[in-house]
Amino acid sequence: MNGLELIWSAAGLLASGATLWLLALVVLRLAHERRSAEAERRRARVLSALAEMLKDANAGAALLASSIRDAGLMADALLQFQDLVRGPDQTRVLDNLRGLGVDGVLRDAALRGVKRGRVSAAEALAAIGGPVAVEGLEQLAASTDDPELRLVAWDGLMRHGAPPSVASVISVVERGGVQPSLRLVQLVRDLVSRGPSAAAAALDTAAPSAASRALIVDAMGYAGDYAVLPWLIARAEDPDPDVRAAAMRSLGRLQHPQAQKVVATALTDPDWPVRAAAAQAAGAAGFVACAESLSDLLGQPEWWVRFRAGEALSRLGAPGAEVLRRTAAHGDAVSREAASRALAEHRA
Amino acid sequence: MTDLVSLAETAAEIIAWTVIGAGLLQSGVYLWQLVLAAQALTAAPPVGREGALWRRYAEAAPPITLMAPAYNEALTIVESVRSLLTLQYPAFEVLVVNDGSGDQTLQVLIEAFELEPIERHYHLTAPCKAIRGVYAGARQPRLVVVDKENGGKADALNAALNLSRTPLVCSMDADSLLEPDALLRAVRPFMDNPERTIAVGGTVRIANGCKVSFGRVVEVGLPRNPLALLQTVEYLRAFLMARLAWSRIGALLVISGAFGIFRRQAVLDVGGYSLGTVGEDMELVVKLHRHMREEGRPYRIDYIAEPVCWTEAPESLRVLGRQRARWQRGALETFAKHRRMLFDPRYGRVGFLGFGNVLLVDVVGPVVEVLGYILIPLFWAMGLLSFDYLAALLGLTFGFGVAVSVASVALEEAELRRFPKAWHLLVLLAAAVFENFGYRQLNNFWRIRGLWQFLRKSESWGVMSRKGFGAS
Repeated sequence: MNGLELIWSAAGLLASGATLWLLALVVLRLAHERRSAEAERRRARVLSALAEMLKDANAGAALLASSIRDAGLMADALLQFQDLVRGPDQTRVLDNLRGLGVDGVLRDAALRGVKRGRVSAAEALAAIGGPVAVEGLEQLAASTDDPELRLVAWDGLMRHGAPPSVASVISVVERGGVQPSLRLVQLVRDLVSRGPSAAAAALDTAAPSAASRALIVDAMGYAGDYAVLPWLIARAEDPDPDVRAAAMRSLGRLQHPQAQKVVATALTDPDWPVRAAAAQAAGAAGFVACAESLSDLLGQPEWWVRFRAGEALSRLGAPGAEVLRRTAAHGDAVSREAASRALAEHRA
Repeated sequence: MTDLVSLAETAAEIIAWTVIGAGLLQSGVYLWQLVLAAQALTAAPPVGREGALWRRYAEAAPPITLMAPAYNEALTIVESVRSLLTLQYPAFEVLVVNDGSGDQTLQVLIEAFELEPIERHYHLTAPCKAIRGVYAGARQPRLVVVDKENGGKADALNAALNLSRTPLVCSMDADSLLEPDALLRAVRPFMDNPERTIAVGGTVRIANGCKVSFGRVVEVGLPRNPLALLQTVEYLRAFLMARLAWSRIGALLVISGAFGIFRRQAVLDVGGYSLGTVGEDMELVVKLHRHMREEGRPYRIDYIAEPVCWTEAPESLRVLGRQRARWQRGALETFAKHRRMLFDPRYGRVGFLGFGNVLLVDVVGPVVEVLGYILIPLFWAMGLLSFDYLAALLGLTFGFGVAVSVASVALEEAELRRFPKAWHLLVLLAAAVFENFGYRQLNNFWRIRGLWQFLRKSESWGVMSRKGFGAS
């Protein structure tokens, strides 16, 4: 074969190969449509069986008999069912499913196989609950290296009263075993809310990185427990600005008068996110004594600091409004604008 | 004389081989993109059901401002805004910017949503024309309308940036049709990696031929218009394959203006959208890369494969030609403005691979190809070229092109499967073949027109007439 024939052969091979590939895709699609239709029918049957269980547990169980060992199908249907039915009806059906051994099937599926199926099975395991589920989720959390699977396992354990300890979560975060995602932030908030004092002690013992400290300190504000107030106040002097800002946010959520002094100090922090968070905290907690310090922030170069200061002064009632009016009349150009806008926005 | 003929033959061969070589090199790049895109889809498959998406992400999802610039959209703005307000996302605000419309856009909004003038504290960090008023209403607490002097799309987006307060902002076109769960899907990278992610682009699909109802695509179909059908294949290649591939290696240079989510502060740090360019979407992304690399800060600019946005593709040659010329102009303006990034080690893969690709595909590619269209037949007619090898290599380039298009369709089939009927795939194959006979060549001519406009420093968009979706 000469060069010319080689090139034409290659061109022909590509074009015909592409055509055959697409024809194969068409055939696969037709097969997939049949499989999908069948899978949809099976899922509808499982959902009907679960609905039947609401009326008659035995009848529902009989309808489910052929599908119970199909972990993927059961997981999918169970999660959809959970979105549709709540309260005692849901509890009753889940009890029945546990009695039929569905929790064991889901546990096994969560611990092995491809990731997509494992995540689905783990979520369904978290939905079904019970001792087998909790045991499976604990096994999953301990054995997996996949951050998403670990998060799902922890979420599930939280739901069923077997949360991981703050110390273990910090340890996993520190070694990079879970992504520092917003889902993790949400989980940590829930975890800390269950035992803020224990979380504070764990943090002091572990002495983790600034990112982990900020994570826990931020979560404290959602716990609503004044017992950790002295601990949070101490964190307001952390060397890391992210931790100090998180402390301000938490103190703002707790709104306790004992925090006034440290919030007032933070209004002059060298880092602007800390000053902005402190301003927000002062407004949220109603620290009228901070009004004059807040007026100084109205002339700062960072817009967020000016905005939060104006917002805080608006929340401080008559004393704050007076400071705004005075600044709007007599302040420098930047302060005047910030004060005027705050007055206009909150008056409107 | 013999020497002259010999010289001419050699020159003709060199030119022909350069054209063919450029075509094969481009095909090689496509092949590489294909492999990367397949890897990306396998590593992070789309979340299937909406229920799973909401269950996993809703609680932690950060607030977003949807920035919707509007210019002379009185006929369609209310429906567009209503469909935005019904997006499935836990915390968001819709910020419509009336960019000095000459029609009743503002009045229509005020009446439809019972808006009243409000005061809103903002700072003009990103440059924009004067803001004349801000409006909101008690019945739609998620809606804010900003009225300003006309300044163009980038100017309007900057106004929205200045007035927004959420950590994330979403830029979009006035006629973008978002999927109900678009925000929740597109925000995943920000949730999975909040420290580093600064921008995410989403897949834009062609809505021509789809059934649209109340601002939503309710049934996916293929366009009847041949031009729109060809663009469907092209979009699959450009979005599903190319952008996914570039995102995988951290060198994604463009996020479509039809849909993109950005970290607000990151955009403000680079001065917002640049004015005076028609490629403001690409230019913003390049600015972000440049800024973050110059600051030495780790970051991610990501792309998600799931379709999140549908848009109307031009169905006439005239309008399509203007669009492609404008895109080319925008790419060249961005390339010229940031040309020092090219092959500069400070900018890593962005400078070498990303900008290198722009040089090959956007700067050199169209010129080489069009010269080839003109010169090669001329040389053959003059007897300076052997037709046989040329034809064979052209055939090889075409074969490659078809294979790459089919591969894009295969990717779509493997992971997304949004075309509901099996015969759609056959139609797409036909389009992938016919694309190489005329459409691709036309595109290159339009890009040359864009190059000419760039050299003449034209700033206009031309008239982009749209049919609208109506009752498809």
